[in-house]
Amino acid sequence: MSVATISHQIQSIGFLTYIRESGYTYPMILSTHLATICIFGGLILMTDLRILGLAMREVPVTDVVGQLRRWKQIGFVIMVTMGLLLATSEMDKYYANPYFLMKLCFLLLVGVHAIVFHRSVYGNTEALDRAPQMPTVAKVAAISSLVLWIGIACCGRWIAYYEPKDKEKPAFTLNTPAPLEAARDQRAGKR
Amino acid sequence: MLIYDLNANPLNANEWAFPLTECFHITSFALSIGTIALVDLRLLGLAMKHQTPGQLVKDTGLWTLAGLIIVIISGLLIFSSDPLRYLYNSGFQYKIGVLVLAIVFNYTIHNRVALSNPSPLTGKLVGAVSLLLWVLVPFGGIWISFV
Repeated sequence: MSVATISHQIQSIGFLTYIRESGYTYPMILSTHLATICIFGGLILMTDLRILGLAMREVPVTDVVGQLRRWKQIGFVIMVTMGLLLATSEMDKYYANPYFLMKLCFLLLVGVHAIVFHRSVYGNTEALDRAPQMPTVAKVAAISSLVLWIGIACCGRWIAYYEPKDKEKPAFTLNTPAPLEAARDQRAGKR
Repeated sequence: MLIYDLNANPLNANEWAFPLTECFHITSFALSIGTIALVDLRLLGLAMKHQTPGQLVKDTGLWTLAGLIIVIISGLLIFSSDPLRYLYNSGFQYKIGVLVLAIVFNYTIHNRVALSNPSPLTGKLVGAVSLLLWVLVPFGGIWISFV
């Protein structure tokens, strides 16, 4: 069984077909995805900026990491659930999209990041607060987290702009949209 | 007469320009709305309990403003790629309406209440209204493409 067949079977599951063909459900899921990015993605950015000493310097790292942890976890779950619904409902298009695959790799690296830096940074904040200077390992953790998350957001946006090159397109049909029209459809993620 | 040629706009002429501008847009609104949400969570009594809301407003204010400036500049650039389409788009009109409301609310009632050590009830009310207003903005943004 090929990846294409499996992808097609996934997107043919009842409720995923419903999402794909719906008028309002799809944009509602997409909007929720974006709303969680602003709130919880913003909390991740602030945590990293705090560790780098660029924001909230008066607030101990322990408070920023500890008090926001639960909310970032809740946001992550909502964000990923919505993202999975969006991707699996159009699995035919997504499985071969390089930006989608890159996004998955980045997400995997986020998991690796959490494991690698848990003991030395995120589970060790009291020592960070006592240290006269922020240890290098914490700064490395913060910078790599920034790179990963901004990378994930950018990949997410670029997914919509990828067009498979191998598909022969008809040179001209009566329905061929004008260039600007085509660009609009693409930005809108029209399916 | 001045004629604005849409196809001459780099956002329409260059393959990378539009998505790149959108990435700046997304990252900066995550920053601005995220910092406001942090204060809101405090006002709601749900996080950052060791700090006062006022201290958090002071600590995050610059980043909120920086985020808002970038989000508005990148938003204007995106708008310039196709002004008429956006102007007559009901999703866009709604989004701008909520955005203006949210910004005004943030820099008047929200920050003033946060800085004045509010009673828990006032804090919760203002925090909830603020979160709701800001969450409605991205919903409007997505709606632009679906109306």
